[in-house]
Amino acid sequence: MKNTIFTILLVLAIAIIAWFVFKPDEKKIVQKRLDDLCEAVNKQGEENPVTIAAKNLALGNLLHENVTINVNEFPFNGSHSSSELTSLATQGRAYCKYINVHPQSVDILIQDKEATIQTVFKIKLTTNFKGDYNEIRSFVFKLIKTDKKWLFTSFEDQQILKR
Amino acid sequence: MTDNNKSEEQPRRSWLSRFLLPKITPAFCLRFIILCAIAYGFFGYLCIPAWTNGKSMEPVYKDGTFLFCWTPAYWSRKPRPGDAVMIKYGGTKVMLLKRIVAVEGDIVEFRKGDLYVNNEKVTARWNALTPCDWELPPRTVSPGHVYVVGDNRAMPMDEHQFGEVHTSKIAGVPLLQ
Repeated sequence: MKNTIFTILLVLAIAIIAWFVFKPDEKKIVQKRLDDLCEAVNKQGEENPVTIAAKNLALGNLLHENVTINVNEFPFNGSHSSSELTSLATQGRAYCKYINVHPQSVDILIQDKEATIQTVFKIKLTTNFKGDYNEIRSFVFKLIKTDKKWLFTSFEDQQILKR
Repeated sequence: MTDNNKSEEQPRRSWLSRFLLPKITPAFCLRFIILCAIAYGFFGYLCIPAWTNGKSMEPVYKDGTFLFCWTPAYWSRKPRPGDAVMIKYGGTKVMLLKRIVAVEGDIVEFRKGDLYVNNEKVTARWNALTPCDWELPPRTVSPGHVYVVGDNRAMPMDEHQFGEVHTSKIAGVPLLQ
């Protein structure tokens, strides 16, 4: 009898854990969008035109019609259309031999049809002219759900330490 | 057949065998779950394991050093100059490791690489670990904030993350220095 109860409890516990792990969740969808963004930006050596076009398309599909950028020391802060931003990203990627953007910490907050991602990125770049860049930076991204798709609408960096 | 006879029939397992391959009984499972919960609470919230990534705190904390972040450190006292602290950096998984050089209301500046707090040159041992040529005009630390700088001031100032941070962002102090 004891063993039966124990087995039932064990099965129930496993089922509850499995439900929490595998249930479809908006946070996981938003997390996937962030992973897709990193994938679209990353670059492992020289790319052929097909790869460049595919990455452009992937990036364009992630962005809202109007995207606001507010990043310290970034020369293109302000409001941009998704096509403008895709074009800027393509030019920027062309200046680099290697790009690795990896989220080290991700906190997602969803309110109705708006999502906020607070993330810390480890950024490694090898540029064609100015050498290597290796930094950890904190960002806040905002997304809006439009036509059942989460689209990035704002990119901001966070200054934790103020000189 | 008595119980004694039964136990004689089964050879007694060594302690190592019992430790590595325990019998899965309800009591064992309960003990295991309690132990996991305690370990999760202790290492997840009180004594968080971490690795350093970067050279800003060398020579005291070398790149790749393993340490623990002891979060109850400031439950009973306020942060003070000289304390090495771990600062929450957008979430709980990434923290900055820095040293407090001044607290709220203090005036901080660098003159020819020397750190001055309230117009007095700081002579503490932790302040002169590397050569420095930084120049930073005086600034007053805001209320509720502390001013943190890394120990490795041989780095160019522009590549070094330092400045004032709200005390609520301090996660704890590093253990295993």
